[in-house]
Amino acid sequence: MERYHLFENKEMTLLDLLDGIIDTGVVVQGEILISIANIDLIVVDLKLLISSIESAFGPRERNNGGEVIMNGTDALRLEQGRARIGEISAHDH
Amino acid sequence: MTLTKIGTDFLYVYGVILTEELQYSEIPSLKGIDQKPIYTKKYKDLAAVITPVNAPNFSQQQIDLLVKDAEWLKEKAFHHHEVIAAIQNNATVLPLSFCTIFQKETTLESFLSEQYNDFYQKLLSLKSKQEWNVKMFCQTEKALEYVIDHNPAVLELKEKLTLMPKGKQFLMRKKLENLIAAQFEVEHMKWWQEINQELSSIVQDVNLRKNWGKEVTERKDDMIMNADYLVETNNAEQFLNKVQEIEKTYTTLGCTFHVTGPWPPYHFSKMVKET
Repeated sequence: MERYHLFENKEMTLLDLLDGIIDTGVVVQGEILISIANIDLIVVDLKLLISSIESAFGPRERNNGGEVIMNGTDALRLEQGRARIGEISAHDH
Repeated sequence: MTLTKIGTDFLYVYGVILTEELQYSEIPSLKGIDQKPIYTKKYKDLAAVITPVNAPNFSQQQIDLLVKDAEWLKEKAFHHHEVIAAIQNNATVLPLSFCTIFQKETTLESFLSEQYNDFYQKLLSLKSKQEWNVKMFCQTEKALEYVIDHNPAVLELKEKLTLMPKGKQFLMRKKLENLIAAQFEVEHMKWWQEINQELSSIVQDVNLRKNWGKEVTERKDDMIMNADYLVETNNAEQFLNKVQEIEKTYTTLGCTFHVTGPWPPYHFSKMVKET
């Protein structure tokens, strides 16, 4: 079994990390006025790490929330963001 | 420590913890994402772990630009994780998404107030638990050989084939190829079920993720399973031993397992989004 420690190789765990921390889903309300919001990590069969970013909230304002900075949907492609999940110096157990 | 005044800074939130656990734990002495201190903002039995960030530098527009910068994303994503992992050493943590930022203390307060019950219940359910990720890789050639030699449906068709006239055999070969491919998928599903069955008594919850392609993994073998398991901290060793034991069964099929953890419960903190 190849067992890796999280900081053993940063390249190795970056994708797992992004998969975990981006859009963990606990941010549910428009209360949060700024957020990276729902990057869809479509890594399967794509050479892109992150293929699109969308606002999870869409146009929304809250009466108690002050001004909403981002409205609508934004899409972008991150060519340079490809994570390398390489063979690393794992230790077998 | 409670929040007094932040000026015009925004508030970056790493996650939410239980106030009762705060008494026994130290908030990491790491610097925040914008080099400012990390502290907590209490609301009843919950405490948000936060750090002030410069408003213009962390505006939505700015963040939309910054996430396109792979180096920035990498550095800050690791920072976000490092803080949450440090908190997790001493307390149960409900991690929030990367770059969850509030403009004002009052909006953070109303967020905590609105989500209070959900957060509180979720935190209780995550107490003393860790997330582990298990990826299963498979040498397709070897696994195919196994299907050809052991799968009952394939064996049956092969048997029939030998009894057929040569002309018909030729036509049936294509059918056999298709059957092998289909049964290969069936076997994968069976393995997944068997593995979960084996682990079911040790794990609290399972989350199945997408498999990554070879261009991402840069491995010769194929990823055929990518799953997160929520495990009691006390059972972690047992869990790892079990995975190791299960792996032995699959070695002959050309499979290896790749385990990372313990992770904060990133994949078990999700809540249904309200629209």
